[in-house]
Amino acid sequence: MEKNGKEIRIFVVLGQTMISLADPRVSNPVLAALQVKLEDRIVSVRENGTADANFILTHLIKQILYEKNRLCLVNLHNPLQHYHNVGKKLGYDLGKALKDNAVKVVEPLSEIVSSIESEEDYLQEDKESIVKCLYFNIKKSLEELTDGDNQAYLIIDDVSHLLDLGVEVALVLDFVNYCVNLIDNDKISVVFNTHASTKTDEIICNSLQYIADVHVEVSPLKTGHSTDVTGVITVQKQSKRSQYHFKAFDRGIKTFHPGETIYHLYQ
Amino acid sequence: MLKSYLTSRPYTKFVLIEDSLEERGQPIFDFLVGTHLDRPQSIVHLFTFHGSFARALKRFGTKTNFVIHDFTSNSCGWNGKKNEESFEDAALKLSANDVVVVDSLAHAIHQCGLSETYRVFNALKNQAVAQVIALLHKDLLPSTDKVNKTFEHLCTLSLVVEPKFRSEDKRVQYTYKKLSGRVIKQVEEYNFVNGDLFTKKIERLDPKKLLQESVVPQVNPETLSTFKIGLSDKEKEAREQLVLPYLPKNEEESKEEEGAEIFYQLDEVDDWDEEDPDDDLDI
Repeated sequence: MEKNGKEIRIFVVLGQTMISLADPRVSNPVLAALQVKLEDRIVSVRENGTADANFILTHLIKQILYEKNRLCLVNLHNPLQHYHNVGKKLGYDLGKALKDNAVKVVEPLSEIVSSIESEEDYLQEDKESIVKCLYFNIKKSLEELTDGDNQAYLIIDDVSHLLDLGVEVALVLDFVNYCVNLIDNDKISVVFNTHASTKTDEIICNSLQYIADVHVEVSPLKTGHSTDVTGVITVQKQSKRSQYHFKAFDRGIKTFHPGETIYHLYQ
Repeated sequence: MLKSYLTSRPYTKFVLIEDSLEERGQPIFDFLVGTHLDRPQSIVHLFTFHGSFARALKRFGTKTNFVIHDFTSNSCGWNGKKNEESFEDAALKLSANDVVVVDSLAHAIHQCGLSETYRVFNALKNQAVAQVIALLHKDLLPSTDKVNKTFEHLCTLSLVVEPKFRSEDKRVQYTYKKLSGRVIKQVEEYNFVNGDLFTKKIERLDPKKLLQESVVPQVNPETLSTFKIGLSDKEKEAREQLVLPYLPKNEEESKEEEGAEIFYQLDEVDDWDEEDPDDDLDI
């Protein structure tokens, strides 16, 4: 909160620890449910069926920018403008972060579009070169981002789209292995988004789930459409598994434990 | 019995651990690798095909009898020079005291192809190595049955981990092929106490015992509440003697009541007709 040009922070004492209410990791329901910490170096996000897990990524971006960390965003699903618009609603300025070089964006989609315009062979025969070039782009961006002391996050949204570009499963698994091995540098953490609709998609999703420190799964309700609950989030950390229901609003997401819907929606 | 098949000498040549996300086989895998690492005379060669190389190294790297072969961080040779040795070359060079450990057989199949991977494992099985241990994530294979069966056929001891059922301990279904040709199929429960594996045979369930268990024990209502719910013998007797007014009465009692008569008292202006109105009818 800013007043007369000075930053004012509200603090609350909970038990023995002092927390700021302006801290989205505490005040934001999605981030409070996810509890992604610095030591969680591999995060996998899985969309089941028709569910959309993009809000998990945008909330993680909010946390990353709040912690003054760096971000390399690889867009294979949504354009940059989408993250920009969502950022305005969630309370972060992606444009400013881009100007400050805190965020680097790798957009294979725009490159594909430009190659269509220039009538190049945009869906190359050599599928390995697609993932290879993408990996080098990512690596270069991360090298630039890890100059300082801050942690750099790689977010890929989403890996399953590589299959749509005709890349074989084995190559996608290799690409994932390469990206995972970027965490050999202690300043790098990786976040992968995947969607599971076919058996081949599932191989990629499952493969990530085996190695993830935090695995987040977003699914639609098994019982079908509901006006009160949009879907289910499952967060798995080691052997601890917690489940939340969520409701998507225009300006944010509310999460609650199953069965507590009524207390949260009609207050 | 499973533990002796796993750890006693001479070692079972090829141990295949099959798991899925539902139930992970990593603890058994780590236990087996740890057992070999504790024996200085055996050299453990880990072929890592999955995840972070640095993490794999950190997990076991402190031991001196540990060699790691990296097939994950630069499998395609994008970062400079690719591994000089292929999986096959590296595996076939191993000697009698060496233990071959593959952390994800599914990834090896994706990377090298099914036929080549099978060939390497077949060669390893016939080669003079101490033991071959492989972890197979079943849900990472496109056609599960075919690959499963292929490697189950090749291995000496296959373990399929299963979730717990009717017990606190998890289950493992194993098939052990003895040198004599006898095949033992068994399901056992396992748990870890202070890092040590304990397995026990699951006892066959006795249907009579199960039936006895399934009978709901009689609940004494007196114990459920502070109120007096039950009846004493005297109260029970009194209850039996009570005749409720709406219930049909005994015949004898109804006969006694038949004695009642209707007295009809005529009014002064009552036109009582003494004649029978049906007198004229010839009935």
